[in-house]
Amino acid sequence: MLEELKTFNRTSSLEKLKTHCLNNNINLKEVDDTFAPEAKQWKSAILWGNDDIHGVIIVKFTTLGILSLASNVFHGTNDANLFDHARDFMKEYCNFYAGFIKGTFNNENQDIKISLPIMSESFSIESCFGGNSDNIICDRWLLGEGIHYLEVEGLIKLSNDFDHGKFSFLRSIIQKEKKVDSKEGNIEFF
Amino acid sequence: MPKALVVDDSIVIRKMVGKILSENGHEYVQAENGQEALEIFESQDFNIVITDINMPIMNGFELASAIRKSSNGHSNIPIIVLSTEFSDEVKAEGKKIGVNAWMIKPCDEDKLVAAISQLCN
Repeated sequence: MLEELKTFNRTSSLEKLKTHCLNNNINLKEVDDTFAPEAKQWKSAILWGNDDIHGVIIVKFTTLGILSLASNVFHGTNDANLFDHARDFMKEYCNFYAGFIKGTFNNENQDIKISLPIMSESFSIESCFGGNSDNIICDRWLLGEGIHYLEVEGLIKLSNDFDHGKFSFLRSIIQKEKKVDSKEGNIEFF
Repeated sequence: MPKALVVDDSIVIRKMVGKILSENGHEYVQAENGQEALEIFESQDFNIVITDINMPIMNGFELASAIRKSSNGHSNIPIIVLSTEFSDEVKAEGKKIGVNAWMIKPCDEDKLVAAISQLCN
């Protein structure tokens, strides 16, 4: 079940970044020893979870990298605050990504809440759970294109009596390639 | 043309929605959270509110609820939620508060313009 959770986390992050950046060329690759950020990295982060499961998503990026990956969004923008907007754009990405996790779980009757996104130069995954490493799953991967990649860290902490059966729906999502349809861009009238 | 109040804590989203509105001839005012939006709403006339949900200080549900209780004569103004949230539970909460329509981000220009036209007529 934990592998399915990791796969779901990775796949969701990739698909949401493609949509958010209007860039279908963005791909996922593993972190290796050759990965070195080209400039100072910012960190956008968001928390999600409930009493049984706590998740943290940290996205490490450079503003130049984001302006490149999301050039279809920022194209033609001639704004003195462009770098600030790139950071705001990544906070919104965290919100988009965590909102997708929340919606997917909620529609399976798993109550999940999300925080507001955080932006920081110094936020680290070690600061999230006070050094307690029991029942914690850590994963890291890269998303990007060409020479511009951002690093995603996903951390999940499970309660001691966590019921893995609660998340069995993830197996069918991944193994049967069932699409979670969030109906992006759709409008529903009440 | 309808005048819109656009509420989102992300300046990028406010600019994107604002660009769509401007290009379609709509006037708009922007606010970065529910509280700021409510103050603007109480002091100006609008035809529609387009709001995010997950915002600091005052969220979109609190804003929608306050608008529906407002005594400024515009408490029945159409409200469109533009959010990353898509679960049935959250949408049901919006419907209960009195939200008129729910759009899942990212914003689709044609659908947003059509929705504004439909709700304002």
